[in-house]
Amino acid sequence: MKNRLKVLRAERDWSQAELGSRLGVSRQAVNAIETGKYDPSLPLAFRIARLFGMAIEEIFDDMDAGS
Amino acid sequence: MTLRSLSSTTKMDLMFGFLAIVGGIAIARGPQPVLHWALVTGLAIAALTILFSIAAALAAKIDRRCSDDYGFQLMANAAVVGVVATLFISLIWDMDFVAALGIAPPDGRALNGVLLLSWASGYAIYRFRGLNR
Repeated sequence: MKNRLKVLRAERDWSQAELGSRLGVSRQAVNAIETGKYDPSLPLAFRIARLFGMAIEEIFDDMDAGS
Repeated sequence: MTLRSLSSTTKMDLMFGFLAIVGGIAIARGPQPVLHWALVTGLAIAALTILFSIAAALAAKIDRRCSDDYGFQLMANAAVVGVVATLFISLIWDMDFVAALGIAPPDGRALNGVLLLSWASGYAIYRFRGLNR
């Protein structure tokens, strides 16, 4: 699953640690999501979407959805 | 109804049900030569095992609250690797051809070491490779 988390974070000039603390997760978790090593749980995806004021599908792109 | 048609959780229910039976039999096959004592010992150890499992499940719940999703997923997936690897290693280690090589059969301490090492290895694998691949 692709996501725009890194871009959205950079636009706000936040570090991974800062984003992690805003979301209540570790810096490593933010890094793992950004690099595609880990897909967040639904509650975490909602927290991310709320933080950026966007819908989940505007941040996360399910590449399998079209197939 | 085929095995493939079952849901993944039903398959897991069956697998862990099977593991519970195998574990109970393995515990009951204690060193006691008299059937009565073997049964009592087996039941006592099985009850203790279940009590410790409940305690471990409660501890994991606390841990899940403290750590984020990613950390918990890493740990839980690594634990599966640890358990499966320990099972395989203990089975192979107990085989006759290993004894013929002059390697002593595994004791409890060695298997604890295998469990810890394989859990740590599983963690390292998922940490570097990621949970999605």
